[in-house]
Amino acid sequence: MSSLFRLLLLCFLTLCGQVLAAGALQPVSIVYDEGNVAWEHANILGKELEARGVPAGEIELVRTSEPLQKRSIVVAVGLGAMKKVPAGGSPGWVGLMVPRASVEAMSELPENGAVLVMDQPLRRILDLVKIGLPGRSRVGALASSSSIPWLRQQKRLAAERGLEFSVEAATAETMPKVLDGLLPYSDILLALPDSAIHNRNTVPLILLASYRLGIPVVAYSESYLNAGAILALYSTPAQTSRQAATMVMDILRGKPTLGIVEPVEFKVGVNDRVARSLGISLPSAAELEAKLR
Amino acid sequence: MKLPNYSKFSLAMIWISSLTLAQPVLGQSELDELPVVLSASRLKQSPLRAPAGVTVIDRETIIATGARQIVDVLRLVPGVVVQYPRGYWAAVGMRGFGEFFGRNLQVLIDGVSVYNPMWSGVDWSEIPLSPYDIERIEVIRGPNAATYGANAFFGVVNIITRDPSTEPAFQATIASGDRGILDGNLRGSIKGDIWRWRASVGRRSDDGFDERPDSHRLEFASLRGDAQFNGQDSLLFNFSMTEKDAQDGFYHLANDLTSSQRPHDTASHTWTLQTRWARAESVDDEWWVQYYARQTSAWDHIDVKFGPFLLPTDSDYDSRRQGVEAQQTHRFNPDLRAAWGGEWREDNVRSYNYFHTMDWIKTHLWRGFGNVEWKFAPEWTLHPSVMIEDNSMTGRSSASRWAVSWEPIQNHVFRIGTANSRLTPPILHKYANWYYQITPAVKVPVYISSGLVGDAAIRSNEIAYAFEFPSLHLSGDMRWFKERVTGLVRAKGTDLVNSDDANTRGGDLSLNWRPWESTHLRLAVARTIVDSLVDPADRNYGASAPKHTATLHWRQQLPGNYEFSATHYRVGPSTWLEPDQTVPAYGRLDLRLAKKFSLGRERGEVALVTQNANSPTLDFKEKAVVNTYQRRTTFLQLSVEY
Repeated sequence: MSSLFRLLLLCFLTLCGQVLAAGALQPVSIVYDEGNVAWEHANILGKELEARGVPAGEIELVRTSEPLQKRSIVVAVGLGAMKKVPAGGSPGWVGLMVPRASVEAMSELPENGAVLVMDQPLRRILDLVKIGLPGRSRVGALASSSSIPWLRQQKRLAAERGLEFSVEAATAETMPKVLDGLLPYSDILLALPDSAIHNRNTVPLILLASYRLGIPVVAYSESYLNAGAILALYSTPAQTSRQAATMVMDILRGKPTLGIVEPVEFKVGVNDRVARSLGISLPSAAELEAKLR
Repeated sequence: MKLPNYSKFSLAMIWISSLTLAQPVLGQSELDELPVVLSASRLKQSPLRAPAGVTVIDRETIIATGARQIVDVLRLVPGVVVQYPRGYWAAVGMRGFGEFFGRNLQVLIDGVSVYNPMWSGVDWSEIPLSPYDIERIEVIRGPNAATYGANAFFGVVNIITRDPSTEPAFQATIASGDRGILDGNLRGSIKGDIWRWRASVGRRSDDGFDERPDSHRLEFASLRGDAQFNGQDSLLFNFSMTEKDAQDGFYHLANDLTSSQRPHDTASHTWTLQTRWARAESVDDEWWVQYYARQTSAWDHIDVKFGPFLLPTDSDYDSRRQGVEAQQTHRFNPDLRAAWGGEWREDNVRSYNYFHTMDWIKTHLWRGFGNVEWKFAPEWTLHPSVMIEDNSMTGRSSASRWAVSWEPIQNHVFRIGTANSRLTPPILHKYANWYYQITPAVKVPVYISSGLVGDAAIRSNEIAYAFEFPSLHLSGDMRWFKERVTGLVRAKGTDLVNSDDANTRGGDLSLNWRPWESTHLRLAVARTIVDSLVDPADRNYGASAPKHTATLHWRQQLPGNYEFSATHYRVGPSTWLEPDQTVPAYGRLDLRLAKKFSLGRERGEVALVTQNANSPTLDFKEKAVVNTYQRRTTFLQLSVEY
């Protein structure tokens, strides 16, 4: 019995090795945008792929500004890197750390691949709002006009949870005025990843203006949480890299995922000092995560 | 008497307009590291869980009161009494002990004290801010020297100005109406990748009380820059300057050559500089270091007849203050947070009239403090604070505050606390050599200080309850306090000595209620009893505090972008520490009706304000002169921004 088991195990490992060896014929280029966040994701992803059997020699980390090897599988970290993905003819590609707003603004995605958007599923975000901030029901958000149709389709998700969801279109120039009009009719401000709306120049205004009116901001990144949001729902670099690595392995196995993919793993962050200053009592991050799962 | 118009203001307006032509630079990536915006130093104190009684007044409320200057807004704080000995000079009292300089409160603008080292106290009329410059005002009711240093005796007024990132690109406001009111303010802001700038110029003027020659005109300008170099490091730069022209004296002494109180002109000039570098790694881990400097020069000249001689006299003085301060906040674990820091400060004053030397009189101060917030059990928090100061005038002293709070039910906090504070005498009291030399042989002394005067002290005990009913949009707090004040300064012959003691007790109540989305109500009620421990006939501390004060503020949004607000103040009778300065009980009703409008990309608001809508109000009495606000002082406010 035990020799039969050993034989079966050997056959299985040989088969796996062949699959990986066949896949590894395709080099993987991880193209990353400037900045520590993209660099950190690219590094963790490279290690994750190595751990899954992709030979280190077949993984290259490339800055967006550098040229790509021909015919490699492209993993693009950040919107700038996405532009390096060939429109057609690539053996496969994966995008990550890209907001849905940027994807919605593209006329079409390149073939043979998928983008793992930064945006958490709206269903999950609204559940967090419902659990973490009971008694508040008017959720406001700003978005680029390209995201508006998709977001307005999601209003039913809010209604199902007894929430009102107001989304206003804004640009980098009109954001301050639109925010001014939106805040008086909101008791929660939802920040969705969109570089035209939320960036290092605009976040101080968004946080200070909402804080002044006692409106908590629910954000999409740890950095935003640290900046002054009360809650954040996001995927850590390790979580994102795990999911992206699975998508790369699917390409190597010839079963690429296509289109837009939402994060599966997530983390909840709580800024209890800001919460306390706003007079809001929050459950712990672990408690919120457990309830969302 | 009216003062001539001034043209520097219009030049500054052109400069501000040109600033706003620059376009903001936007368009970053969501992968950028974001700066820590709501750091410990930017967060407001939560009245619910603060270790002391705190009243927070936000910008909407400030504007809705129709206040022309910040000091008027303090009437919304329970127990605070604002009186005007001159039309431009406000004296603020929190527990009575009324006097011209209102020395018992520490006042900070963005963390820099505007306390005048010459006289102590604050010249509120010289604060270079319009109500539109303010983000919020936090008032700590009760002594708090353990955090803010000596002179935070009866309370602390913390004025936080707007961050340029929340400012409109351009804003112009003007107010004009009865009593010669003519106020204006122009503000512009620009936002770049690293720096955000705000410039503001303004003026404020009126004719003062009918009974007094107290017209005044203040012109002010300020420049604030905030740089965010990366996610952690930021730099704040603040510079402001004011020029004030005012009149002083009494009309009935106009022909009395022997009096220095004949109507005459005075002037003063102040500038303040602040630069602060902060590193905030998270909301609970921040440290900053700042340098500040402030200079005031005041001119007050009049010729006075002494016997056969007509002598030129003056009350001129220069004061300078500079200091370096550092502070760190750190969270050791979820239940233990601390803040500690230190400061070095130097004060210089110069006045021939008061010191009979043209040398600068220098004092310096070192201090270090530590505050801890320790949640030692699930419902219990301990707040110990200690400050040690070494002042070259009065030596080493310490102040402390201990508070324990208990939150048995969420949003219902009971607190018990004790605190002691000190009140450093002004440099004038310590080193006064104030006399008039009539002839080489005849000298008329006013104050000749022996230099023995030292700190006054206060020990305060309080019990408080703060609450919030989120579903009812109702919050508030109430507290009962008992204090012992020792070493109050008074004149003994021509010297100044610490001689008087008094006990105070009382309570206050604040309520904030938003019954509907469009309705805001604030109520502030206080009762203060002062028991003088010296002969009241000699010095009536007991009568110096109005036993009751009450303020009700109602702000109502109306259809059609209208907003109505009404603020009623009720103040019991009080007598200042000088004889004959009795003010009977009064009620004052201020009304404001505003309409917001939009003109394409410009937005604006026009408002009609009526102060004292109900009846004439006797504000202050000095000798034979009674300062009276006549019924209905009305003015129009217009604000436009884009």
